[in-house]
Amino acid sequence: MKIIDFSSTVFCILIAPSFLSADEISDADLKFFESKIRPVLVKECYKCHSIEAKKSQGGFRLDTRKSLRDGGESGPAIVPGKPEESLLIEALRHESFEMPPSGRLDDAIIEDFVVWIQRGAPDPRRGKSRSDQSTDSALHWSFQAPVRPSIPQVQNDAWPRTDLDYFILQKQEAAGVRPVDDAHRRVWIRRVTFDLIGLPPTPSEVETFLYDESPQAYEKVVDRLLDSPHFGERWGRHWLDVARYGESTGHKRNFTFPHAWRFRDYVIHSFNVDKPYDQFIREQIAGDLLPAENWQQRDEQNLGTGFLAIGPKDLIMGSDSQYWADVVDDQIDATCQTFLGLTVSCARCHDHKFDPIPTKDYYALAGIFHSAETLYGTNPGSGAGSNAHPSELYALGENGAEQNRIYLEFQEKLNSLVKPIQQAENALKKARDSKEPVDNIPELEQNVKKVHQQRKELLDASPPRPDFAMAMREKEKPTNAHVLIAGDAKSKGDLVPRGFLSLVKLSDTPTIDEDNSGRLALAEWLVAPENPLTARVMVNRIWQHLFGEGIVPSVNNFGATGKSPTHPELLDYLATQFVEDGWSIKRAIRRLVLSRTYRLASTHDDKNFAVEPDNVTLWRMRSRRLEGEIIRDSMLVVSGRFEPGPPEHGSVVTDLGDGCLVRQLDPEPLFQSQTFRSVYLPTCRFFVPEILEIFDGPSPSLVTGARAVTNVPSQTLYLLNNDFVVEQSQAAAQRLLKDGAGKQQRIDLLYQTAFNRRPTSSEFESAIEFIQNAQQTLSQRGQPNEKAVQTAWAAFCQAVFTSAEFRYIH
Amino acid sequence: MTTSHGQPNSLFSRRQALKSAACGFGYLAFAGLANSQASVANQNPLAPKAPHFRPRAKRVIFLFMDGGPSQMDTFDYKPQLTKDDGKPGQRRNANLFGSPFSFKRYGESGLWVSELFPNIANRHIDDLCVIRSMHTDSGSHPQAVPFLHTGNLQFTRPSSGAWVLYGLGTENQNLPGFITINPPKILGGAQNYGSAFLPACYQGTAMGRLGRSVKGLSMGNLSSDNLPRDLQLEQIRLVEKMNRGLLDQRQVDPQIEGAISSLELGSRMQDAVPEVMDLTRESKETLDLYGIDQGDPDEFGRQCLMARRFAEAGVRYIEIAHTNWDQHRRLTGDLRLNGRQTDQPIAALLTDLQQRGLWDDTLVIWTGEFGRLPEIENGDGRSHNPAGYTMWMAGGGVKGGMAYGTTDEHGRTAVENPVHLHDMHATMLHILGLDHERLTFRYSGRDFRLTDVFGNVVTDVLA
Repeated sequence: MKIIDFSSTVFCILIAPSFLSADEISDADLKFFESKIRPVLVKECYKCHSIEAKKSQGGFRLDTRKSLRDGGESGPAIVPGKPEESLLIEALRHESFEMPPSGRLDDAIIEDFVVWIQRGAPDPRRGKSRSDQSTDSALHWSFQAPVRPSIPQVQNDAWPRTDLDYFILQKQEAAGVRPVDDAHRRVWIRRVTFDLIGLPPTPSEVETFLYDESPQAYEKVVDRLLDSPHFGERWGRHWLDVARYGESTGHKRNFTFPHAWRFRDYVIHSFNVDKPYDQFIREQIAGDLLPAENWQQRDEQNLGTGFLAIGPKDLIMGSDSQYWADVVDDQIDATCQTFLGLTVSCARCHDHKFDPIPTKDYYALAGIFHSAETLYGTNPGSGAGSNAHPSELYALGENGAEQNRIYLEFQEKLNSLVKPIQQAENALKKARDSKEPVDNIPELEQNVKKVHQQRKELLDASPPRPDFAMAMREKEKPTNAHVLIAGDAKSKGDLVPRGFLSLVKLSDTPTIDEDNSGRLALAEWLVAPENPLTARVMVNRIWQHLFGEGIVPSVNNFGATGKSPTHPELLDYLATQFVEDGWSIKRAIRRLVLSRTYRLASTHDDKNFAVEPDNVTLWRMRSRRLEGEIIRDSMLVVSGRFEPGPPEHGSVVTDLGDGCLVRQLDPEPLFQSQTFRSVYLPTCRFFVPEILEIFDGPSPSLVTGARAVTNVPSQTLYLLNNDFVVEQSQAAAQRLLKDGAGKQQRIDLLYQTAFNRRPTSSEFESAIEFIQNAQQTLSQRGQPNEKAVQTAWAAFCQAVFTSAEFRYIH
Repeated sequence: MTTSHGQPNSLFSRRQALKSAACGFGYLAFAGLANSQASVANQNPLAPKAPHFRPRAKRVIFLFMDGGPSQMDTFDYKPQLTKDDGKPGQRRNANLFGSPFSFKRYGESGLWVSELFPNIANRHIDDLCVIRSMHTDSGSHPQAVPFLHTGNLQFTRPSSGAWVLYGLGTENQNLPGFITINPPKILGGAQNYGSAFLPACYQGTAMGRLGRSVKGLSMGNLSSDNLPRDLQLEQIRLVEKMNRGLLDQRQVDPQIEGAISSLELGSRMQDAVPEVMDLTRESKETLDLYGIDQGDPDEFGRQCLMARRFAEAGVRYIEIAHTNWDQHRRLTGDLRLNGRQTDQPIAALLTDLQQRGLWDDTLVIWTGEFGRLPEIENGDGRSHNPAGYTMWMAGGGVKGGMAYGTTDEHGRTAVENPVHLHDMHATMLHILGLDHERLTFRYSGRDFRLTDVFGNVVTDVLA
């Protein structure tokens, strides 16, 4: 759960004074340096005068504040406040040294340096050089490989059930708090069922568990849930949040992705079969390059690369180079945030300010993605603002490639007829409209007929359209990427060999051959057991989904500006265990939910609260609000309308078709009431289903690791008035009236399905009072009796949906 | 914020509903229980928040003139262009096109305004701060519209209204804090009032659709035919009882407290919103002032009057929109129509704000996404121009009767004191008491702002 913190509204540079040089530097000076000075230094000087240069020329480096002031063999390079005495200015003016040797810089740039030195040469760069920084950063906890810690000693060793409980209890004992009691079995089974499959337990599942006296009672529930096909839907949705899953391009012209759902189903399937996480990563980065035993496996692996293809795209962008730079940026950003918990995109324009990620690392990754082709389809569109960058798709099936070749040929022929048809028709129209007599009208008519006939023949023999998916494939010739100065596609810097982030140090870094993009090597680099981030980031995500907050609360940011782990040893224990278990996500989840910690009640405790109000030590379970999807799914379960599985053609977007939303396609069907699970609802960018907008669903254009949780009136209004909720209330009422013999029984049934408990006697009374009153009022106003009964019960069901208990788990 | 929670059954009086500010949250009862994360997380994220410094205005009414109004035909008088009419311009095969409209100086300030806006010119020119040196980054609608609204044309970013709501919260919890009437469906669509990475509660509440009539306009999910209102109130009481039962059982639970508050507020909103949007509550004089039911000014008059009613009721950020400012052809006729449709309503809005004592607290902004070129096209049209255009501000915090910055002699490019769109955003936030460099939200490892890494407050225009 993301806590909305209003206190941290200070620009990040200012809240990190430890990264600033000793003397304070004003905003204006900082801006001046960053916009006028640093880019020039990077572009013109670093090549020969930085730690990266093989041998700093003249023994002089200007990549740090200190080294610039210390100078080289010829003495200090600058005298702050005195440009005329500064060697650097002389050199720039080509008065003594001639720097840069490639040619004198513009006077305006030199003048900037004069002004800068006059202002005292304020320089925010850290005291040490960048590679000194890396040494610094080597101290940052997350950049060192996790080491499996020993299980800590605790005083109350009767309490822990599993290894992880020792880590939790040890912190609690140190903090002087005591874990509260275990949750009631009813509370626990509701919690674990929502957490694992995103649906409420049925009354009979609750009953079975309540009376199961075997020592394996809890295990049985967990194993049943892990085996449920709904497990993948629940955990797949978590993954789709970070994978910024969307079924359209977003941006100003919003083109549909009618085949994106195949990636969605791939993700759900992967969770259901407990695909080892390392394999899951390999497939998403380089599934097309993995060996396959048969075409089914080949397709499955290719589907994974949809991860890289589904990002937002600005298809009307005129500049090719800018367009592809943005596509690749999305791929780098998604890859690094999702798998590594790192925000690498900063380095597109300048060296990362806080993490040791130099610009060159960014472009090393960029080369990998630029060497691959992104297959996302999209309709060419029409008119002004049409799609400037349509692409092919991956064709599924045993003979997909061949089928696709035939299909593309056919498409091409069809397209080649568009112009002749237009020409023939225009010629005929012109002749007919002409005021002068025209004698070749029959001939022109014949022409029109002929081209239409050609089209008809072609269509009659149209080959079947292959099943498509969004994916990646290699380009014929891999290329390295140029550094783009300040991220500008028009200003190219050095060419950078393809590679990975230098902050991760492996004993055996995979090599990238000249003849391939390096995606496969990138995948291997990500899943190398030595990679300090990959396993930690994933177990932290799992932890977050089960306990409400990550051990590292900033789940997408394990860098210097991220938050520190609350239980670092526990995180490392879980990460190393995860790898040892063969990267099994289900085993990791099982380990967590069977712990004593997960079994705790969420009850208040004055003593603990006085000592540790934030519950960082988890002396009780955190109660959590269910996500919009789950609230909706639960209503469908209670109403009896819940339909398992995806819609017929995969997605509503598939039926909508291929084209630009609003301009070519009416988006109305995206908002129609549906009864399938929320994970299958259409997810077009900027056209998100209403319940998700209202209950803090993720923005599909952005990598979302932790959703916000708000509590605002629009949510109440939705539950009180929205047609979907009214429909479900009516259906639930019909169901109760049919299944329940009397009032008491119906109320009891509803409470058991919606809240997984029985009503208290006063709850019975309030409910009956409300229903009777509503029924009477409606009858008095002339509603037929049967209708009044229906409406009254529906109103009661809706009250249950609107209540807090329905959307919280404790 | 000192009032305590009322009696559960006496919460829903209309008067109270309209007057209620963001107080009366039960969570305050727990304020004494240390500043725990839990209680911070469950505070109402829309509650009013202190600005960074003393604000000049408290709210914004943003008049979006969709399409790119022509500066040289409205507020940027270019006699040289008239002289050079018919001479070759800078565009290939396109001659310069002097404004077909006559200009006059108005008021004490003597600012020039074209004949299109007689009411604004005669009654309010000395209230306007006209910035004639605007420039922006894109000359295409689908990029420039989101850029105007979010300060970014490359990525999905929060809209300016969402930033303001995030920064200041809102005064009347019975109404949405950010309302946008008739936003464009395309050109970025929901992006223009979205919250992106800010929590969803900061997104704009959209009503209607650009170019459509606002008669019968209402907010979604406000009511349902399913249940008569009195029974729905019974239903809400039942839910409240259930929630209170749960709270009793849990002893301390700020989340359930929050749910109780939001139920109460949602119920009040059901009464408050239609009441505020009900224009029949206005006097005949007021309706006439805005030109309601008077033909051309009727539609935009309704929007302007609703904007005033929202402003009066404490909505933080209100955007209304008038479309059809994209005159590639038929400029002479279409701009006259636009004038007839918007002049009287906008003048009425300004008058009304002054008469009701809302003037000093309200910043009114009139702008399109860019301006137009001095050359002619398609008979009597002009094409897009991001390099120079005009916007104006009025009301709290800005100098009236002032023109700031200039374009060149033909109105093509901002030359003196150019004001970039980022500067406009920075200035708008500044007027609201927000430092655009400090209004940040951490997402993806860094702190984002409306103005990205740009923007300078145009201090010369501040009163």
